[in-house]
Amino acid sequence: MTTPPIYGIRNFLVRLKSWLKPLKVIHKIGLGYALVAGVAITGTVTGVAIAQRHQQRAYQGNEDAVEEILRIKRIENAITRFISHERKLIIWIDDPEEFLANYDLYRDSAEDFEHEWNALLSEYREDIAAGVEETDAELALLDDLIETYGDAVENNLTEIDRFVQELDFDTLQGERLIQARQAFIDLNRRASTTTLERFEIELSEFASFIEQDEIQEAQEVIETSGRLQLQIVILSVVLSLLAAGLLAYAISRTIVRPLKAVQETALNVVQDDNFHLRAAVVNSDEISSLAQSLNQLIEWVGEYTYALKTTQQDLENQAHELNAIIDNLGDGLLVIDARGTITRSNPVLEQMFRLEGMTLKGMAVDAVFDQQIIELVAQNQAYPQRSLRAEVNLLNQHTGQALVTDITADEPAIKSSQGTVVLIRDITDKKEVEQMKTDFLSTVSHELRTPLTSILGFAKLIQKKLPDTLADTGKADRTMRTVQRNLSIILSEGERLTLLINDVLDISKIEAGKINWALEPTSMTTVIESAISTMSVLARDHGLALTADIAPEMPLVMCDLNRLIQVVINLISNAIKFTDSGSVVCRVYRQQTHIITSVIDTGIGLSPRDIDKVFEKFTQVGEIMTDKPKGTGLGLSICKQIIEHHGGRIWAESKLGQGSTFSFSLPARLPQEPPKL
Amino acid sequence: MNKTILIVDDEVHIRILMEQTLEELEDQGVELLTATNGAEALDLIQTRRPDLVFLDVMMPKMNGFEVCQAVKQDTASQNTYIIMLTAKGQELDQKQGLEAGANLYMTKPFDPDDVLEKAAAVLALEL
Repeated sequence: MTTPPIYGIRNFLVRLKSWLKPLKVIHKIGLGYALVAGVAITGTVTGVAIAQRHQQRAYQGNEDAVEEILRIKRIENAITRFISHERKLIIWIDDPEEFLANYDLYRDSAEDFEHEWNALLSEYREDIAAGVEETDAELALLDDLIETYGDAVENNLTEIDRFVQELDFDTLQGERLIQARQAFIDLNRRASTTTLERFEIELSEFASFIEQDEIQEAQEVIETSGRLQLQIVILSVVLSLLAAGLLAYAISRTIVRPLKAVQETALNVVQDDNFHLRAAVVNSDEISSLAQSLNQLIEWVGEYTYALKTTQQDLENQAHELNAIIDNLGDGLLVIDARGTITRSNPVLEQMFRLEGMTLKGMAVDAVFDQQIIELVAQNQAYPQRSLRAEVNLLNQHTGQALVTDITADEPAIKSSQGTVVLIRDITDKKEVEQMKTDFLSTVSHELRTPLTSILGFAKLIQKKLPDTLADTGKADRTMRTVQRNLSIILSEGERLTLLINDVLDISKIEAGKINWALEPTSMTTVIESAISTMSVLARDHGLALTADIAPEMPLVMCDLNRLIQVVINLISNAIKFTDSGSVVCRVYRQQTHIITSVIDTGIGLSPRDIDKVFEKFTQVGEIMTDKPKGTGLGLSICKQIIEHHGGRIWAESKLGQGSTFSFSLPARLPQEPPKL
Repeated sequence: MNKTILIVDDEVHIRILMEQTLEELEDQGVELLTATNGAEALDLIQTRRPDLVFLDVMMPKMNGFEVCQAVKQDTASQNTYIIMLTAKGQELDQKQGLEAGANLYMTKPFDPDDVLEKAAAVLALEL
């Protein structure tokens, strides 16, 4: 079963394609050039070879012709000799010796002729049998010669032989000799000479004909071979042009088209912003590797672009969220940059200052707000590290509390302030409530104190005057002592109640911000000395040494002197209360930017569990059932409030049975700082 | 001439307490006057010229600060020694009292002995 040629070609192309695919571009181009060069070289070589073969054949033909001509010449020569010896036979007929010698030569030349002639004929026959082309004219001439003269020599020889046989040299003399000679001449004339002479001439003509014919033929062959060579070279040129065309097509197919596809993919990706596009990877050459790299690049760029878009979206969402938060903030917000230009505000702020509908952004803060805001901003920008809290007057007798802070960049490299944030809360209602609370407390305090004054006053008077009034009758003595003791209890409890009322009022006022703080640059020495002078009597009564230990050259602190004395007194009072023997020391020293004041006792100390609780309200440290409470439980809480209001910190260090140290820190007032408002 | 002390308080029990506290001075010839409100106190100060006034702050009609201010502004009575005696014990009130011209500021509840000692000292009497 045979495959139709079209399938064969297609099959071949498919296989060629699959063989070409994995090749590199450079190999493909190389292959193409090799193909073109191969076609050209093969064509040229073939052409030259074919022409060479033809020429060789022509030379061969020429050689054959020369040989043939030589043979014909030899035949001619044999005929000439044959005729000549025949004639000599006539001459030497009277000399038998010479005659016989000549006769032998005559036969030899006949033999020579026979030999050459037969050779010529047999060669012709061989040539015809071998299919060697001879021209028709040559064949016709030869046939003519054979027909006309083929038997001429043999016939001549036969007659001469018969004549010679009949001769008898012993008797050949005289007349007989003349007759014999005459007969011989006749024979010669009739039988052979003229025919043979003609044969000789025609042979010569035949030879020159062959010579002519062969030369012409050789020339024709040379011309034909030249033409053939030209044709083959042209054909090979055409073929190589065709191959070059094919090559160009193949190159365009394997190089330009994939390149164009890659370029189009890149262009489409850029134009359509579509990162899902991919360049086709068809084989494993350089262009496919380029396409692969491009695909990788597209993928990466796509991923990065996606990530970027997502991040951008997130940021936008965050910005929207932040805007929404700021716009819906319950407090008024105002942001000012370092040059005093408003960069942000929210609706609540605009309502507070009746600025609705105005575009605040970009305006100078001085042009929009009153002095109190301008000053707060100026202060913040002058001292960015300090956040300010101040009350500001709003419209319609409303009061706002402004919190002013600076915008500090997260990066430590940027030290300077980026601007100021003012947050204003309308505290009118809160203030009213606070006022009511204060009034209420004040009233309650008054209402509690009045009956307390009576109770304590009268008890004191009874205690004082009873012994004088009642005579020491002995009988009443016991009653008297009981009454005195009871009165003592009434007085002590009453005093406790009084302290409690004072402390509650105190703490509630501090918490409500109702205290007017008289902040002034103060020396801690003054504070400690005042407190010690107040408490020295109590300390002496308890048998304790109360001393001060103040480091030299202490900076001043900004404080309310009386409040600070109150704190130190409270701490000393506690120390005395919980110390049975030893000392109480007030130590003041500096720790970087702060002044530390410690009250150190040698008392019962605190358990770690209690240390954390001592500053809580109504916390009396120790066992309630066994230890008699000795205070209101608010003293340290008040101290904490006071110290924290001064920007300080209060803490306790202690071990059970090894005394306690209560310390507080206050910011040192450094010389370059301006007075606080 | 007998010394005079004016006790001003709207609370009857406080007035009685004050009277009993100052009993010892009465024995030395000091006259004790009482008033139940600011207006009455001012009236008595102008008419009786007391040497010492114990002045309550929170009273109906006219409060202690107003009385004190009026007394100290009147050249005739400005030398009167005024001790504010009040349940309001905070600095603000104390400051306000001193600004009004009070000579001393004592808080309720008070120790009768302290009151007696102060009064004796002001009137230059011995107990």
